[in-house]
Amino acid sequence: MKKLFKIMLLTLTLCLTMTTAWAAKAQEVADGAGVLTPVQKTKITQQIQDMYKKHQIGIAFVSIKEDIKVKEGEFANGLLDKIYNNGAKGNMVFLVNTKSRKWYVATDKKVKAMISDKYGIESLGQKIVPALKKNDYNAACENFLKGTDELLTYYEKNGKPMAEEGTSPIILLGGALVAGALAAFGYGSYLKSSMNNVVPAAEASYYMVKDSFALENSMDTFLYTTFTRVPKAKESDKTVTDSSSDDDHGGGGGGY
Amino acid sequence: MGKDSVSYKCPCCGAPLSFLPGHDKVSCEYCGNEFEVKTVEDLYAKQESLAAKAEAAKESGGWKTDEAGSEWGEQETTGLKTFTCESCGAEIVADENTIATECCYCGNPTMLPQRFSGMLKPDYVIPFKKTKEEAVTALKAFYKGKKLLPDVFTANNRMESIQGLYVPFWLFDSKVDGAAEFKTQRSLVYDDGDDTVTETSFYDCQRSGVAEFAKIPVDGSTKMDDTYMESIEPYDYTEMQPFTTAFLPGYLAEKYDVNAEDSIGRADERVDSSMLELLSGTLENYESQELTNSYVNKLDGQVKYALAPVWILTTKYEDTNYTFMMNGQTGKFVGKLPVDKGKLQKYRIMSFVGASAVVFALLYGILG
Repeated sequence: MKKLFKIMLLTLTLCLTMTTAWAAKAQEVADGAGVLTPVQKTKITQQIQDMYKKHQIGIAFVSIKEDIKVKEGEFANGLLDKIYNNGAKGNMVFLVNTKSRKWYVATDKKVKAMISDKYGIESLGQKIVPALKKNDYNAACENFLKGTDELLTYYEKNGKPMAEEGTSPIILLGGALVAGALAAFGYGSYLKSSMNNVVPAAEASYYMVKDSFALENSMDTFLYTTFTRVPKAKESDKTVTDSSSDDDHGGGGGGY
Repeated sequence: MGKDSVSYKCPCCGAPLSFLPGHDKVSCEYCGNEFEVKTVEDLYAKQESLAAKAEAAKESGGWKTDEAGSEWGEQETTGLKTFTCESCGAEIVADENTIATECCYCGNPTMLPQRFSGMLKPDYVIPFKKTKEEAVTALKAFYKGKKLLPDVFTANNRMESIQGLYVPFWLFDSKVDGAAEFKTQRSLVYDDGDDTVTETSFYDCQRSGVAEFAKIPVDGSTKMDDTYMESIEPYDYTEMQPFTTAFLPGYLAEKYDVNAEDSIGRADERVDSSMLELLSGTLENYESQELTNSYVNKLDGQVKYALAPVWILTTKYEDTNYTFMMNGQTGKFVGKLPVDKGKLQKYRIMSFVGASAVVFALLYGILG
């Protein structure tokens, strides 16, 4: 019931608040918030069309200035499902809400396999957020497109989404060998110890008369207290703080 | 000539009597008759007395045999005595502490009663409950699952000897008064702004108490390895009997050669350790503790002398003797086995390769 209500609310919100987007159906740039100049809009549109020719991925930039009842991520996913769904190899939407100062990059299932939520969207956020903070939406759009091009090119070249560079296999091998040596030493010691069960008796607890122990005096005296202060680990510089990722959608976003 | 040793023989058929493990009577394995311990005791008390006198007489005089053989060195003969087997007449050589043995020629169980004189009579004896066959079975079970045991050791293994021995033990009873001082600490961790604060409080904790320990065993024989003896503990004292020689036939028995006074130290160590453990166990809600001062005082110590049953199994492998011992009452089995160095290397290499591969796969999956 709750889920049904949520879907209805999302649909209603889409209908009421995205008049601009509806009007600009299939347009690559739906600047409802009016953050781009006509020249910038034309330039960004051209770049998106060039990107489509190169990667066959449908890309849209949508700006709104509304109080929406759902999260930006759910809103952007709705745009993907309802409007921007004609890309040959997948679709993605870069949404900016200048009212809430939130951004979100939504990807469909196909693009989710090319641009990972963990690394890909975060790397886009790193490129987008500094410009958004300066209210430079044109630069944010250009950086978004440039970053997306790099991620898609990497995927097309390597057959897997770009990810953080892993630890060197040599270092991993070194760690594994040390662990193996410790395991060999430990197992050998265990096997050797199993060959000998002759051990001295260090105490006489077995021979204590049952319930014969009586505590006669118990006194605890506080001496002093020491304080140690350690700075907390700083919050990471991650830009992605929200995600509406599910089985059919990827992506992430945050504030600016 | 008087007899200097006494064989416990069946009054019906004359065959040797034995105390069979798990029985409460002395049995004749030949005619099947069983006799009360008290009956056998009374029957042979007189003989033991006479045998002791005969040995004394033998030592005081006899044939001049100076010309026969050469002189033993003083060190060679120290502690060795000969006895005449009452059954076959052979001479039995035993050391100064042997009080029960068997004739090496006819296997007749033999008591050496004169050895009882000049020493304390044991207060108690814990009778054998486990048989020689059970000891051999326990040894085989002990071998099982030992991955480093040399194959040759089990394949060609023959026991050099399996002996049931009554080992002299001192049993220490003690009421203990102890006190200890500990330095302890507990910590509290909380966030304060951008810092994580660890607040560690230190305390001085004093504890004192009393406890009672009963029958802590310390072996009274230098021949027996103390560590082995402690390893086969504990004995079930509820089955301990007032001492009588009727339990000894069929087994070897030793008298003590470490007196009670010299055994106190080992009992004290164990009592002290237990008492301090009891006191430290009363420290609650502390993360760490360090003993800074303590004393343990024995208020009312008593000592009893007992013989406890032990099966001793010995074997030889690559010119090294290996000894195993089994608690003759409970069956607890202890020993040290030889290690096949080749097998040890093999298992080390296998675990090294296996663990390295698994860890590398895990690390590569997570960090690679």
